[in-house]
Amino acid sequence: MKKLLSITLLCVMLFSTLSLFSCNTPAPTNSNGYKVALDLTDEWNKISNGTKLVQGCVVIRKEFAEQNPGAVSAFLDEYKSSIEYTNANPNEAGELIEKYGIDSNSEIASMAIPNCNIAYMEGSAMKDSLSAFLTAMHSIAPASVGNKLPSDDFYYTRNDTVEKTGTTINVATLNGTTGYGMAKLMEDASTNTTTNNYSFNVVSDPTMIIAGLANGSIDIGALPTNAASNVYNKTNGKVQALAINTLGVLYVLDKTDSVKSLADLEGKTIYAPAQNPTFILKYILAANNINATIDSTTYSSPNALETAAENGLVDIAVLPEPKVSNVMNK
Amino acid sequence: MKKALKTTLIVFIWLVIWLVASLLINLPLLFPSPIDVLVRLFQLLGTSEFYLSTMFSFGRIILGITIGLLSGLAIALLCSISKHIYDFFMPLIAIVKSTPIVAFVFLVNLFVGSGYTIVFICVLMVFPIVFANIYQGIIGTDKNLLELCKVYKIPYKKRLKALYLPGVAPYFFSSLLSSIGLAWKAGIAAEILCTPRISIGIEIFNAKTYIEYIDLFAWILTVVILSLIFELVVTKLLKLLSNKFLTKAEV
Repeated sequence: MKKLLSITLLCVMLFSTLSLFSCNTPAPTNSNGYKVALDLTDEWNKISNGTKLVQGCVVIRKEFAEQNPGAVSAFLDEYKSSIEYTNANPNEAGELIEKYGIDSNSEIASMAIPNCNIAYMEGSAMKDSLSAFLTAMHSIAPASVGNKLPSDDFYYTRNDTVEKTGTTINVATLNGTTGYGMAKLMEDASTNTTTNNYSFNVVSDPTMIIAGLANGSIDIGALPTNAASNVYNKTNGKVQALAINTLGVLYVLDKTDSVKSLADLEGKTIYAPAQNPTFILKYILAANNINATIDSTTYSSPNALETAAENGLVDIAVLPEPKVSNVMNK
Repeated sequence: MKKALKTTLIVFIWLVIWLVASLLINLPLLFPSPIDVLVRLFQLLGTSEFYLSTMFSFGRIILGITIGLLSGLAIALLCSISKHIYDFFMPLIAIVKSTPIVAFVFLVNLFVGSGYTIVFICVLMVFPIVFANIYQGIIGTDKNLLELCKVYKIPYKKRLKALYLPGVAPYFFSSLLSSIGLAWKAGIAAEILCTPRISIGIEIFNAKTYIEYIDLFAWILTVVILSLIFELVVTKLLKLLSNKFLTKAEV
């Protein structure tokens, strides 16, 4: 009897020490019982005929682009390598993200990076996915993209033959995932290893970037894709989309353990923040002929919904990264 | 008549200043001219959504003001009975007075729907002011006159009419007017934060999100005009009330 007891105790100790080693990745179910049930980027890609869900991009003042093609080409190269670095080195990138004020918690950022689908797309690849996304959003909420779809001159294609010179570029980015890919570039700029001479601004409101683009104090801005289209329309074509920096960042969290596939959402109530997350969810559900109730008024801001999820107040919710990592970590 | 003319002229001059400013700033995207805004306002006045949103917002704010008024009155009366009761309520009132609106909105909205959050915020704005003023009015009633009333055994109803009401009334009226403006401001701000489905606040929020600044300015103008009209109506009402109840004081 004593022998059995001591063996059991040993096994229990072994298992508990082993579990300590799996602490780095977030547990599949968090303390409130939530699971990450669906990846809306995957669901989008299933119905999109090869185009991708693109939620973040960088735009440039058209006038600046026309005057400095070489500098823009250099920027695109530098931005691309910054994004590639971010994906390859999430821990280091997380620290840079915290260092430059793009997010407040480097650990959460590092955890979120693999789920943020930070990617780089330019030229025709960008145009295909971006125009498809804007068309989809226009069909659900035309005002969110500025009530009409941008014309072809919205999509920048770079001139490969031009010499890559350097100039001063004023760059602004939103904090959060739209800005994650920029952190390494900011680091490179501060160590003077870039072709261009950059000055950076991290802001919390797209309006400030839009104002800057409109009055010329900002040359390049990182914005959500629908805001980019809106600015193009509102300024009568004075901005262009340079590159995509974020694919999709939306996930469905489920507390009821009943959502295993998109079809399981039929007849359920899903909480989603107002604007984009709601529109994207609506589009995906409609394309799959699924009827569900989307509540985007009870917790209309992403922060409110995040708090509600942290307190287990909602059964099914759509949240963006890094809020998903934040909630799952509780 | 002269006053109306003067006011119109002043308003017109300010509109011209606005026009000049918008031309100088030259960012029609974010700072529209008064002409665009007024045109858009007239367009909005033709839509049913405008009246729905306005009525719902108005209703929430009025409800909040009323509840704040009644509760301020009730608690003030309660506290005037004994200093201990007043001391008991003091911490609560101090917290309500000094906590920023936004903090309350975040907390309350988690438990209560957006619509009722707005009502609650308006109550929070009105209650401390009304309470403090009415309490002061009651406490500040001339002690000598009260003694006189006791000596001459003047009935409570007459005491109320002759002493308490005239004593409290000026405090009450001024507190009401100042808290109305505050309730409007705070109510609309709360609406912008928690965006109830039918409200002025969500219209303002959407206008900002969709970079429709002409709409944004038009709605802000709507809120300002509504607030002014409401204050005017309440001032007139209070004047009527005070004439009715206070000039008939008999001892």
